[in-house]
Amino acid sequence: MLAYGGKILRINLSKGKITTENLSEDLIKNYVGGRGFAARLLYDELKPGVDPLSPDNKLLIASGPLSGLFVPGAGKTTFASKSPATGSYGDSNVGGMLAPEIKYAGYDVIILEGKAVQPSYIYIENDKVEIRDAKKYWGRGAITTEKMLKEDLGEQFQIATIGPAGEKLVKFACISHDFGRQAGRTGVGTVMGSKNIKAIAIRGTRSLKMKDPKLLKKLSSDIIAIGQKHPNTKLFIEQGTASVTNWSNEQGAFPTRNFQSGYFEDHKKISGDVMIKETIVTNKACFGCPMACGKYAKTRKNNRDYYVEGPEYETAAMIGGDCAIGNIHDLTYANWLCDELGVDTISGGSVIAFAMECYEKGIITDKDTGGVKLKFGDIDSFEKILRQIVNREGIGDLLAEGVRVAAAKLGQNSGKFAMEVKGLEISGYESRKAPAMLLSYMTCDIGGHHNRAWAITHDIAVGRDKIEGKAPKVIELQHQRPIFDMLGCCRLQWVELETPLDYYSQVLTAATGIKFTLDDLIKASERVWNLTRLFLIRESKDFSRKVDYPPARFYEEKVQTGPTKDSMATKEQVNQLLDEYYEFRGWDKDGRPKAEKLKELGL
Amino acid sequence: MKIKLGGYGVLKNYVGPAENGREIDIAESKPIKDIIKEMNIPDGMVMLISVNDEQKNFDYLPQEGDDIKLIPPISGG
Ligand code: SF4
Repeated sequence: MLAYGGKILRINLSKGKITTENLSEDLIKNYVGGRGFAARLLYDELKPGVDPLSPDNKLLIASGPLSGLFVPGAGKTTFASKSPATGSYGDSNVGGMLAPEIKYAGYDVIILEGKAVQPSYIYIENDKVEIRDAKKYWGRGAITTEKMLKEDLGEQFQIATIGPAGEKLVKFACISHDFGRQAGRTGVGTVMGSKNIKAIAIRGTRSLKMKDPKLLKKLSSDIIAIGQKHPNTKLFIEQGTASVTNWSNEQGAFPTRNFQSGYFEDHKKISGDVMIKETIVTNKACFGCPMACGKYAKTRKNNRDYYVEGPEYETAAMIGGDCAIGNIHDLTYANWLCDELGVDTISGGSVIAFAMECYEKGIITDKDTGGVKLKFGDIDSFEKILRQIVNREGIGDLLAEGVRVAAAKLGQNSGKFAMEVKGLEISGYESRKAPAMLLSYMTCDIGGHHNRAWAITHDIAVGRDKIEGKAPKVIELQHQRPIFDMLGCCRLQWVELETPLDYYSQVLTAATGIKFTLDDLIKASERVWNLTRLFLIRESKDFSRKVDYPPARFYEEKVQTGPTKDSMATKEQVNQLLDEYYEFRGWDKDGRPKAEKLKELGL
Repeated sequence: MKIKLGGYGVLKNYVGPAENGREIDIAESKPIKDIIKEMNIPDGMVMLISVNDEQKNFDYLPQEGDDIKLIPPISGG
């Protein structure tokens, strides 16, 4: 089993039982690794209908076959579970150094099942695996906990930890790693908290064997050389993903004031070039990456320095634009708050933006907020409500459930502007005048997230009002982009620096000695996509195409200001997009994979 | 006046690859945004413009011999 760790590490927290299993060749050939392994194992091992926050749910931490090898950015780790946000398959990945360490310790996947009797952390040093007492760390911030564990165990341990939000089962709690990177989405941190696990500390000292290390080195050197020649390398090193903030506003695609608009008038105060002047201290890279896109920043508030990695574009969009925080220092501080408290900045921003709009409309009042005047653009009330959420106090207790549940409870038509799909808050692109991007959000298998198919440039290229013909591109991206989440390495070298995609099948073959073509990888990715759809169908009571509908704001309300002012999708267009999408996917009119499609994929 | 023009990513479809910029002849200097329009590149497809490896804005007036590269938007995470 070349290039793989070769083993699944299973930790039953209820019984304190630790076992290992060998990886099967069938799993490797059909599901490759990372997200592929996670989806298959969760589908097979979870009983239908389990409560995501019960001991019956499982949290999987998966590396990929390229993780830890001499491949640029080979440090991506997937966290996966049945999501408390969507009630279906959920995953989220994080860069940094964790996946390589998992491999060096001899594993590909770590499965946490059951629930620890008391706050605990997982200690892994090669074969030595222990469930240790975490009283000392419980209640502490995520950044603080990582620092404490590194001091206690040694700098060489890689740490993944939750903050207080995960402990309090806030539905959009993240898992943090490497002082500022997060597996932010789908509530993976909530599931970790529900298992009484504060952190995972891992150290591995084994080496990984490859089939043809010379060829792998040559291919990887080519990937690096291609990237070094591309101007986006410089751009990413200077500004990271925040370099797209201005462009997104110029396109009217920047979520603003809870997606009431697609243009934030203060965007130039929070963009990447402002970060260069005001906040960036140094650059940070993941394992083996020559393009350090992480921006380590500093701000100062109340006579204290705060260090944080970010804000990334998504944070700028969802807290900057969506909550209208138009000052880079306030935004950096808000980013630090979310990171330390262990809150996903995308869902966290969306939830607070939703609450701000509810307050503006009188749906939430001073009585609910304990007197906090919750206003767009006001960092102090943002902080107060965020802390109420994390402490589950007052209205925060309801908001901690996410916008779907909060809107259902608050009523008064607030569901219309609860900006989620399948229960997961939508990330940072206003999509009323970008049907392919809208379809990406509608059909993303983990809920409203952009990373599976970033299709807005396709809308721009072929026409932003055009509906027909958008589905095939979205599907193509939904198969290509998640390949990297299966391989356990960063996709930016491909998607931003133009490394041809088939390099990665060659690298994988050189590493494992198993012949993988690009078509094999795309097929595996399609297999996973259909499997996560089956998961959703299995978990849905009255499954229909409605699961793929966007929030009503997108088809009942026009964009208020900016370049996309007055644009709006219609319900008919939403259905038209889905009709085409289902047809190209080989799904029926309700969005169920047809028998022949499942057969074709070996499902 | 002769300039070299090429693009990255999807912009290759409109102006050819940046590594091998194609030479074009323009009668008189005009803002680069006008040239982008003439190439039928949709609004919003160009995020950045590099001229002789320096970033310029859309109002830049090309000079004889400029090597102009058009860069599409990045995906923001
Ligand atoms: S490009 Fe950025 S996210 Fe990707 S591996 Fe490098 S530092 Fe990490």
